[in-house]
Amino acid sequence: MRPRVLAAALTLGLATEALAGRASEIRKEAFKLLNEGVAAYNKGDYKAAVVALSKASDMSLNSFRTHYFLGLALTGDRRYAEAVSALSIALDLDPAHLQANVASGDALLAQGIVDEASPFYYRALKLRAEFPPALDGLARVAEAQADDDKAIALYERAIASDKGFAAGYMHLGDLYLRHGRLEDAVKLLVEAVTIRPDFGPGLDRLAAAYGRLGYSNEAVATIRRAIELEPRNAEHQATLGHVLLGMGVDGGATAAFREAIALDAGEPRAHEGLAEIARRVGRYDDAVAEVDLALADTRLDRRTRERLTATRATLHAEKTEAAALESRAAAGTASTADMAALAALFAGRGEWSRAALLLEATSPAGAARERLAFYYFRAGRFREAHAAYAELARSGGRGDLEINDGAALARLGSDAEAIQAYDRALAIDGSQARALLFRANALLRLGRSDEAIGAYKRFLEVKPDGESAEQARRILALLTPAPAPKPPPAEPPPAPGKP
Amino acid sequence: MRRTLRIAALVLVAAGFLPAAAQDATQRRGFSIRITAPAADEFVAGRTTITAEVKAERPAEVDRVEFLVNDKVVFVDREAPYACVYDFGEESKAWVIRALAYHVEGFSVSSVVVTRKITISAFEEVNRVLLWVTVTDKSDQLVSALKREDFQVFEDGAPQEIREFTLEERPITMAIVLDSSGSMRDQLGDVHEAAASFVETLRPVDRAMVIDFDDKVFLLQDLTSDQALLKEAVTSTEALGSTALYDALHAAFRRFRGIEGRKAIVLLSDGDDSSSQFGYERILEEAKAGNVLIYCIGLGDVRKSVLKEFSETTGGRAYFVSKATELKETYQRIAEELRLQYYIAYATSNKVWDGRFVKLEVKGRHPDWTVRARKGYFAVRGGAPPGAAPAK
Repeated sequence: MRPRVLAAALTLGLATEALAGRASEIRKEAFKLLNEGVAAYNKGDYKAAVVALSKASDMSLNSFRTHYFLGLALTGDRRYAEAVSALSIALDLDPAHLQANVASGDALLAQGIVDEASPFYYRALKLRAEFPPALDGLARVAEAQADDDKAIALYERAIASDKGFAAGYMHLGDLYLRHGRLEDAVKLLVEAVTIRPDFGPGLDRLAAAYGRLGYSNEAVATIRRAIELEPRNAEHQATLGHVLLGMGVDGGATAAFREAIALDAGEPRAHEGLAEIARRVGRYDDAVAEVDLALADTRLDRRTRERLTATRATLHAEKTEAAALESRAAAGTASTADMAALAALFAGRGEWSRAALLLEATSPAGAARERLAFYYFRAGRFREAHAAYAELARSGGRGDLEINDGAALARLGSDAEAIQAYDRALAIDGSQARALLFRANALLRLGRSDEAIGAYKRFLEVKPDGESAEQARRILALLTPAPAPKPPPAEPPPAPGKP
Repeated sequence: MRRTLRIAALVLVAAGFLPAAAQDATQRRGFSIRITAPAADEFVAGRTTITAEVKAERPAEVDRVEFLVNDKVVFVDREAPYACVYDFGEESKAWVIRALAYHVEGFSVSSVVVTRKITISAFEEVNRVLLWVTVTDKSDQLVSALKREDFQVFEDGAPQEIREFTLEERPITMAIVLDSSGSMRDQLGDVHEAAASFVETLRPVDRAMVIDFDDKVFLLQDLTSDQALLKEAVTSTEALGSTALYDALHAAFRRFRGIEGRKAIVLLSDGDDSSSQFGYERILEEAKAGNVLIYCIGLGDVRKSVLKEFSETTGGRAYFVSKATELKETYQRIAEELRLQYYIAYATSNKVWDGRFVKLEVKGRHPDWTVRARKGYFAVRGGAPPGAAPAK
């Protein structure tokens, strides 16, 4: 060390090691934090990633990777406004980075700032024509502008540009899910997770789609796989909760929602789930309190905030309506319309028995009687359901009523009579897939396997796609064993040896 | 104000060098369109002319040209030259500008330009522009005890009314930016000593941060008034690597975002930028956009023009020394300047907020005085950038 340096050190009263310490320690620490942050991000632990990468970004001021991954982690943690700031630094450092442009657009889009998001996607497209994530981003912009046709065309362009672009399948699947095209949605979501078996968001959406289709086992298995891959992801727990809620497993759903909230106190779908559980037992104040907890989170994107606000208003309206109807019912002044409205309210809360009792008291006819038949069915009163459906079917000549009657009979253990009901439905319209499938199932339960095989084949002719078709194919594979493999060709005779 | 942007030449140059996928024009059967103004990544605000050039075998083949801004049709032109004027507003935003040319046979071709948002860290208030002014006499001595009447402010040549004037005594926020590239190795001891002595000149109310750079830029100490921490930071740098001077300045600008009052960067470097991700033009733009005084100390054989430009644009000053032993004196001189600055706030007569750079000139009463103040500001309305979180 030169004398002047030593003198300076002594003047400042600092040891030589300490002099060299701060700068080199900060460099090492910044590098370590970056690696920790990226690892946490890759595991879906966005909160831990944000902590590490925020510290790193406060030290390492011109590191693209630090600011880029911080932006991604903040987006993962739904802190979109902060994500935009971090990503703008990353893009200042590398304006031609495709994914950083797309990520900036995504963070703006999540905040509902559609006009500001588009330029980032366009910029990415100018850097690489037909870049799938940029087309996918523009598709989501179109969705935000309620132009679903344009969105579908852009998603299809993204997928055509890269057949392995899993996010494109997922977002298009999500759009179909929103449109109620559940089986199309499932097909796309299955494709997404086939391309990328470790695609947590894709598995999450697929589980939600299975749940909505009523494929409970598939839904639970799929979301469990997502949780296994990303155990710190609160959204997966919330999805599990909703799947269980759809199955009527309220205890399990509550536990899953609580787990989601433990991972992320503001997880909106978990709060919505708990609100729904409270609503179903008439605890409207608790339900509103849950929604308010979700609304208090400043990270909410615009669409979720709008949905929660609408839910809150609905809860308020339903509470007021329920109180008025119940008070009139208790006082004996309720009209028939009041009783039907109260029954519908209980049905909406999943209280089928109470709904059936109330509607029954009004001696309903026509559409109201059909509703009562449904309440009976959901309340497990299959005998009454059968009686109502049979009577309605005889007077209406509608195939769907015959199918419902068949379903009620099947639940009563009368598969033979159920088959007759399905046959009546098919006589009205021979292409009713539900009738064909239920009939095949009933034949199978009766042990009439050969007829069941024919029935499943007929069902698959009518409906070759979708989860039901897949199930039918699995059953068929079990019922029709594969033909025995051909014997290998006989060994050629040994060549004659040389003398 | 109607303003035509003349960047067509740049676009043509860019188009020649960009890979095919990045070119913005589409073409079909010799029929093509290209937006000639504004250019990609240009900053636009206010009333701006959008122009497009259509190539066709015969002019009659062009049915019409549609101009879209952020996916909304803003104008349909049916005859050449194809152009329209659009008001992009007063805020700094990025825009997607598209032009679609329709062939009489029904097909169309398009061209897209995405403009850039510039980050303005110091927005002018509607009627108020803030300046910090330093005055020296013929012998380069700082001039003290001046009054409001000693100054005149001009904006694009037009005199302005000074509303507030005072000798600035309020706290200052500073960034001490130190080059620790490999070439500094032999001089580091003197640098540490000089920078530490500069830290000692800070008043208890002042705050400073320490940024260290070679090819990477690190914050060694965030804003603090604690001189011991600042000294520890400035004396801990180690010489290694190349010189990312522009990156370091950009980092300092970023750290200043959201901080009010007088701000200054005191930069020491012994070489030209050799490894920044930012370019000179971009940093000069940032220097113009932020009301931050830049003081540069060039040590040894440096490109003086770059450091002078940054300093003079912002109202700071560049010093050049040949030996590291002279640093201490230079840092002391900067400290003195920062202690004797005048604060001027004036009511701007500007009515047009169209993103242009408004030129400022501050004149002193005495012809022998040298008056240093920032050279202008961007005429852009204030407000936080949409979608971004408030700066730290």
